[in-house]
Amino acid sequence: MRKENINFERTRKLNLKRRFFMNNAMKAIIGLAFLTISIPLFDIMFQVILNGAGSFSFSILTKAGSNPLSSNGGIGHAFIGTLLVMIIAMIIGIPLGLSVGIYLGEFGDNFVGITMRIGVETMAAIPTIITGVIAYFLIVRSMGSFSILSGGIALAMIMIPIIARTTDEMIRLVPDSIREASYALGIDTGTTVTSIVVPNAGKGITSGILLALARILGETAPLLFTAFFSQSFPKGIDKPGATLTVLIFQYSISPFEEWQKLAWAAAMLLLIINLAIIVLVRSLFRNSTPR
Amino acid sequence: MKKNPFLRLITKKMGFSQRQGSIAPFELVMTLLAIGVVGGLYYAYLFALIKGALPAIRAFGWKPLFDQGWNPVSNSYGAMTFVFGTIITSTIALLISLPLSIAVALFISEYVHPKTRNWLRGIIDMLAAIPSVIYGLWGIFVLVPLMRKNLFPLLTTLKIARAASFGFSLFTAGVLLSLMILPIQINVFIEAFDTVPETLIEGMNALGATKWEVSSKIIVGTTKPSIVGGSMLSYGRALGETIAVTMVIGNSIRMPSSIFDPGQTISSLIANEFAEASGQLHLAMLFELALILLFITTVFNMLGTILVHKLK
Repeated sequence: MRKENINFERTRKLNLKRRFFMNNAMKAIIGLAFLTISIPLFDIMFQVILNGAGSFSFSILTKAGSNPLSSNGGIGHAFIGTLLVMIIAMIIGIPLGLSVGIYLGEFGDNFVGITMRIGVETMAAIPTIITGVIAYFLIVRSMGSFSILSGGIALAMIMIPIIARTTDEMIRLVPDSIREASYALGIDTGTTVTSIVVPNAGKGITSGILLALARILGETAPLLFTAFFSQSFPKGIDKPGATLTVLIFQYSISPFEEWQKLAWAAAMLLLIINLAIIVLVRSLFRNSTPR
Repeated sequence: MKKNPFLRLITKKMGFSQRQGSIAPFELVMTLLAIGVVGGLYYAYLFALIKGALPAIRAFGWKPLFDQGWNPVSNSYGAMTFVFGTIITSTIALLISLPLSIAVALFISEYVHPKTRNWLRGIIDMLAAIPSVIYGLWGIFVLVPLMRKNLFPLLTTLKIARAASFGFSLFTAGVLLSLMILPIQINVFIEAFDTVPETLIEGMNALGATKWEVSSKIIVGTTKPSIVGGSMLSYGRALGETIAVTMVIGNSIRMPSSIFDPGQTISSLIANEFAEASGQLHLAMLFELALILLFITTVFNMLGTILVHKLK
């Protein structure tokens, strides 16, 4: 009896020791895991800023691509190209994405809406290279050449489901009492939605659009066979043109050191714009940021 | 009775939100517009891919997926190497990232102060927003030399694997992909961990459980479907990732003999050959591969989305 008691005490103590040891060991391992992922991820930003700052100067923004062996090349043509592609994508993508999102959020609680929501959800996850392939088949082929326009359309196709999804979520967050108050005043559905519900969700919708812009700004794959690439300033939106991301891709896999330097400079520019949008969205709309 | 809010709510649930119980012109316009946009997009994706792939499907069916030997000049298309490369790189990425992301998600959601937590989540969001071409750039100039100078010689001397000397390999691509999918997994996992009821955790604490026991048994234990779902979502993302993979995989169309050899994935093959496809059949074959890729990624994404949202 007495002996059993002692044994019980001993095993209990040992067990506690084991459990405390396990607890501390796992705490250390979890901390280590955090360090492990921080190192490469911070190194990416560090290397981009370091190498980018080393080869960046404002004069490269005014020059187009050139002979890889001379050092007077620039990334200005790609910067303009990216701007053009983004503007086209915005003109097409924002209104269409918003209208789908408003429909889903406001009237989408029926069979059509639920089916459409699943469709939007799956489309938002389609690999972007497939969007490039589609845009090539539908637009580049019928137009007869690579063009900035087709690149913009490809990006708009990526943007529409993203904007639709966040707009849908944000409109759902608007309380029903606001809609009911509006209806009680005798205001019709169209006015209620456009001038009462949507402005109420305005912050969230705006940040959703900004996040979608940040996302398509970094896309390369859909531009490879649509906007393609060029070494000079764009001559029109029906002609091929360089963009920052494709320039980084093309120049970084080239063997020329001058081009690789330009790739780092372009990467820094891209990263800064991209992170600026994210930080802006997070700080401006802290409580209404869509995930 | 028309002004009865309950009736209105019911009619709204049925899809008719107008006061009079009929569809408002505005709703009708929005419905048609949305159906037009989403339907149009869907039609564009499926129509273009299937139409583009049709010559190849007619000529070879789905047999190329299980054949080896890719030579567009002699019209022999065996795409098994690329299917294999796609699956291998994504699987390496998942195996590396999954334990790390669970640990980091636990760290951020359970082990740090709530204030630090918001900061860390902000950083994770920023990492998710880094363009993939920048991951690729880092891969070429930092990761590939690291593999070439340090890891691969070590592997060769230890006789674990006969590694190629370039540093461009399936394994390199897998490591790079693992970094890219980490933020996705971490975000999904943190959100899942936040849904664990506080009472369960407090009950466990009251029984004298250690922090690790609470974390492993309650927090991870009750969110298993979300963890599986988050892994599937990130796997789908890894399967379709193009640019970063193209930059570090070595772009070799030969069947790799080990994961330390250069290879090719479906998406990197399309990125490499699409703009310069030599003939109609070659192009059609690339469309067929794109169709396969679309199918696989959509399946993983739908399963993942279902599993993740089940808990919410």
